[in-house]
Amino acid sequence: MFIVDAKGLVCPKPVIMAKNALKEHDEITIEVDNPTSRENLEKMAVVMKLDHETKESGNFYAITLRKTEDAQNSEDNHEEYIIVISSEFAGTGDTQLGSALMKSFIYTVTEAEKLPKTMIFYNGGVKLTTEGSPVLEDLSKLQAAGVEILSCGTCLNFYGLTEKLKVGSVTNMYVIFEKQQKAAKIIRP
Amino acid sequence: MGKYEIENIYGEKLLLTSLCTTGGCGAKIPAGKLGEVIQKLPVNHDQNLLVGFDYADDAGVYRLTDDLAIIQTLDFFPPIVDDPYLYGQIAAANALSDVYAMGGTVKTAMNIVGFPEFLSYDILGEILRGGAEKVKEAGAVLCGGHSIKDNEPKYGLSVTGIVNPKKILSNQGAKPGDLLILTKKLGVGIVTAAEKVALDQYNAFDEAVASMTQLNKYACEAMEGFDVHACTDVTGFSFLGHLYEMMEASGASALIYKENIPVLKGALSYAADFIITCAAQRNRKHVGDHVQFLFDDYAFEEVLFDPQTSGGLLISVNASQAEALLEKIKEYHPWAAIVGQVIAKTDKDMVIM
Repeated sequence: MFIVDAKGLVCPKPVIMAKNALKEHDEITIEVDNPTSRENLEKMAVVMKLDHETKESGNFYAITLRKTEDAQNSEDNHEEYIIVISSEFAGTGDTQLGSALMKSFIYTVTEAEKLPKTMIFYNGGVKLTTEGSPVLEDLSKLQAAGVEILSCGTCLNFYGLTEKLKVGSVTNMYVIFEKQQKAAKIIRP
Repeated sequence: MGKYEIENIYGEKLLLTSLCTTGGCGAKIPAGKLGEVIQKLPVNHDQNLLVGFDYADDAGVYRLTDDLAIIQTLDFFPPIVDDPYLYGQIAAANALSDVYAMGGTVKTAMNIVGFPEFLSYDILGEILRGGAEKVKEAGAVLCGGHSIKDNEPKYGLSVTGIVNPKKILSNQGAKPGDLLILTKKLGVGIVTAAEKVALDQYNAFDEAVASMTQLNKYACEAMEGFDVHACTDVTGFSFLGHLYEMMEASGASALIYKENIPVLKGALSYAADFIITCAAQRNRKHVGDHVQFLFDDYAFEEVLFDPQTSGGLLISVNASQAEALLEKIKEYHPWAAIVGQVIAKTDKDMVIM
C-alpha cells in the first residue's frame, strides 16, 4: 500500500498530496496529525466517492482512501473530450435556428453519459455564459457536475460583458490553446 | 505580484508566508472555543458599554456623551501574501474595517508588530508603509505602536473610531423583510491558499489582493442616510459564520440566493480541486448545523465557509431602500450584490438556495 506522510502539514497540502497520490495508486493511506486535515480528507473522500477508513494511532491519524467503481466512473466521465463554442449560434445560416440549435445542443450535453472535461466559450460564445443567456441553467448544472466552464476574458471585455459573467470562470488564450492541445477530442457545435 | 522573495540577514532567499503555518484571518482561533473561554472572564458592568462581547460584534463601543461614543478594535495576523508592502495594506484595511462595520469614523491607529531578528528592517519598513498608507486613506492618524521580536511575523492595528451612539450599526437589528447586501467577492482564503501552494493556474491572485486592500470606508459612508438595520464585516469566520452571528443576534433567519453571491474568479474551481483550508473546515463545524443547502454543490459550500481576510460588509437594509443603497455602494464596489433576504426565524438560521 502506498503511504503518504503529511504529518506536520496543514491544509490544503495533505489533501493535495492525497489527490496527487490517487492519480498513481488505487489505494493510499495518508497520515496527518491534526483533526481538521483529517476531516478535510474525509470530506474529499465523500465528494470523490472514495471508500475511506480512519485509524487513530498514537498521535496521528491514518486515513485509507480506496477508489471505488463509482469514483472510477466519475473520473472517466470527466476525461477524454472538451467542447469549444465560438458563437452563440450553432452552425451557420439562419440565426434564429442557430440559437435554438445551440440551446438544444447544450441541453443534450447535460444528458450525455460522458460529460466533457471542459467547455470553452470564446468570441460570440461568451454570450452564452453571461447575463441574459438562455442556457445558464444547463451550464450551471454542468458546472455542478464537475464540468469546467471557461470564458475568454478578452471576448467578455470586447462585448462589455466582463461584469455579467454568470457561470464558470474567466480564462485567457494561453489556457484556451493548452486545453485544446491536450484534449483527446474536441467538439465544436 | 505573486511570488515575492525576500532575503534574511544571512542572504538566504525565503518567502514571507513560509515563516508561518497559517496566514491572514485563517489564523483566527475557532469561534466556538473562544466563546467558552470568554464566558468565564470576570466583568464589570457599565451601562455606557454599548457593544461588548455579548453578540460577537466587530468592535467594542463605549458611550462618552449622549451623542458621542468611541469604537475600539484591534486586529493582526501573520503574512497572507509574500509582498511585505501588500501584506501591510491588507492587515491595515482588515483592522480598520471593524470600525466601518459599526458605522463609525476612524480617528487614530497604532501599529502592532511582531518581527523576526533574522529579517532586514527594510522588510518591516515596507509592511509599515503599506499599513500607514491605508491609515492615511482612512483619514486617520497613526499615533504610535508596539513591537516585539517574533519568529513568525505579525502585523496589524489597534484602531479607535467614533460614532453617534444612536447610529451604531451592530449585528443586532436585522428585520424580516430586509434585504442583505454583500460588498466584496468571496473566496480570498481559497485563492491565497492556491497561490501559496504555487497552483494559481487561473491567475486569480491579483484580483484577490486588490479586493483585500480595498477599504470598507466607502461602503460605510454610502450607508449614511439609509435605513440600515444591521451591519458586519465578513472576515475569518466566513460569510456563513458572520451571517449566523447577525441572525443569532437579531433573532431572525436568512434566505440566501446562491446565484447572486459574488465569487472571485478561480475560487470555485480551486475548491472543486480540494484546495481547501483548515479554517474553512473549522467554520463549517462551527455553523454547519445551522445551514440548509438546497443544492448539491460542494465547491460552492466551501466558498461560503471560506475565511475572508479584509472581506466586505454584510448589510441588512430596509427592502424598499436596498436597490438605491446598492447603486451607491457599486460606485466603489462594482461587484456588490443583494445576496438574500432576512426572514422570520425558522429551524435553520440560514437557508441557501
